[in-house]
Amino acid sequence: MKTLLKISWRNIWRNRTRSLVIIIAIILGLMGGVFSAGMRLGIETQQFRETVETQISHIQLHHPEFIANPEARFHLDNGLAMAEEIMDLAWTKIASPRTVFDGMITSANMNAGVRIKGIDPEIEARTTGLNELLEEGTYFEDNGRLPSVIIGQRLARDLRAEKGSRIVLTFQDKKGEIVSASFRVEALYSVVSPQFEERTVFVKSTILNPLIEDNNSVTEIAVLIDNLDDYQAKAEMLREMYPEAEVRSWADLAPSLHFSIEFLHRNLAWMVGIIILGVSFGLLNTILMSVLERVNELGVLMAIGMKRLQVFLMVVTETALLSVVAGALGLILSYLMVILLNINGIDMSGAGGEGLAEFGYDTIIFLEVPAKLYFDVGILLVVFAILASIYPAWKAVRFSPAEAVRME
Amino acid sequence: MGPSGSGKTTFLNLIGGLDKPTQGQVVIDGTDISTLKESKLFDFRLRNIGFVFQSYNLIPVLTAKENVSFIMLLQKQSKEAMEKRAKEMLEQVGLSDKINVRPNQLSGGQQQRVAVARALASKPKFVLADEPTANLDTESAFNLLDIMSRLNKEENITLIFSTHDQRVIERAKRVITLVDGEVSKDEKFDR
Ligand SMILES: Nc1ncnc2c1ncn2[C@@H]1O[C@H](COP(=O)(O)OP(=O)(O)OP(=O)(O)O)[C@@H](O)[C@H]1O
Ligand SMILES: [Mg+2]
Repeated sequence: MKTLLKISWRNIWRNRTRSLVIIIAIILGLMGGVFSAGMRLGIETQQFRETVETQISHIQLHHPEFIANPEARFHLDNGLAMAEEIMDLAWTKIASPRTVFDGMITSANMNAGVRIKGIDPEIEARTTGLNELLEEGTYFEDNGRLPSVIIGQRLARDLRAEKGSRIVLTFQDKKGEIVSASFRVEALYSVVSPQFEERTVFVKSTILNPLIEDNNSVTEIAVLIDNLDDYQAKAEMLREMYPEAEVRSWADLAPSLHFSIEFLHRNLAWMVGIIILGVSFGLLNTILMSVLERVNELGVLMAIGMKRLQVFLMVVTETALLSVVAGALGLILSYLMVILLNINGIDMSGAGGEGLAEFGYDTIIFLEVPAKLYFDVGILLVVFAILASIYPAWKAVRFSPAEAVRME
Repeated sequence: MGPSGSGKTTFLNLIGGLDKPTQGQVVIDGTDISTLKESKLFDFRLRNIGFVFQSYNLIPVLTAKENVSFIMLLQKQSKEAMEKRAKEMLEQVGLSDKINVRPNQLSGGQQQRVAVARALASKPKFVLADEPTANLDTESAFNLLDIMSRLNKEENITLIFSTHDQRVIERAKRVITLVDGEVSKDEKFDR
């Protein structure tokens, strides 16, 4: 067995140039595969972060009526207690209770329809990181006479308001009566989605709730869970816990993002698979050439008593070893490539990146390559290589020893 | 011996179990090898028959010593026994200084000597040598034949040659002449 390995290993290096050529081809194939997969996953992760993490969270709970009529009267009963209960679950990171409804914002010059979100600043910071989305101003320090509102940069532009401007919010209270209150713009935030930024304003729920005459009002609970992989199961668990609430996961809330992620994941396997398949054919060709050059030698081996199976295994081992060497080098180099490229990220502006910018996405992409991808690529390569070696190995033992020995 | 195309290689291949006869039997020590199943036949060759071919004898990626040990390895002999026997045989063929050298650094004659050492190392019942000197210059051929006839006596192993070489024929105890695939002469000599 050891000798079989030794012979196979040395056979690889008999024709150094040929082996190096295929090794380099495999390395480049793997690097290309890892690069394009990493690029797509990077874009996806970025989009996911920018929409799910900063805007919609993993799971949301509402009163069923609220979805069609976002009004204060459709609130969750005992919403605060629910949020606390959810937060105490072992698999949740945080649950942010909010008072959300639609209303109107009025500046000195203009007005616009907006969604008003009453939040607990400390919990919200841990949920969406709102405090880190600020472009200007401070995060609910309330250092003016008027209560604070944080609005999007785009909305401020539309309203011709700026940090420090006084604005008025108008909305219906719990009973349906119209209420107006003055706020001061304490800060401007920015997110990737222009619609969100133009339509969403944040105030403290402790200010908002008395205005709608319901001190414990909660119309929305945004939840982050620990392990995003089973968000569906967790959403289901919440559905069972709170049958009276409408529970929606990020996939329900952002179906197109969900679709594109699913699509990508399915595509990725094909993309990587096809690259490896191509590389395997190169390998097949290399091994076939080396086997056909050695027909006499293999014939002698069989004549003196080496079994066909042993010769067959020798060729398979040779291919497997070659793929392991090339695969290991290819993955190490891919890993280094990812690290190097991620130091500064890949600037896509001017290279088709405008499309991204238009949708509000960052034009600097960071490659995202999960450890599992390296692992899968490595395993897949070796498996395909072994499959590719079957034909040459069969060729090697096809002749009877007598024929092989005589062959010129 | 016999002219080209007379069936020498075919004859040796039949004796060695590399070919099967369309008619008749090949019986070695009471075993009819022409009816053995393939896997049994591989095993029979491994245990009983040594081979020296005209060329491509050695595994290029193994050293002289590893080549000589190869059959013993397939026979699953112990490491120490193999080591000892391989060194002994390489010494016998005058290559003790080339133990760790690979075939491509050996001359044609030296390569054939390693092949002879390998064939004899596992102590087979007999060794089949199909024109082992055909690709060698006169001196190397002479040298190889010397070594082979000495080992024939010392190791007490029968060597069966196919050859055109008069020098081989001069040393043989029995000479079978083939013509057109048939035995035309069978002479015995006492030397
Ligand atoms: N007894 C036989 N019956 C049928 N076919 C035979 C017989 N002997 C030889 N042949 C055929 O004759 C051809 C040549 O035989 P072989 O190669 O054994 O000759 P050779 O003596 O070794 O020649 P060379 O000196 O060129 O090596 C082969 O195709 C073989 O099949
Ligand atoms: Mg011949």
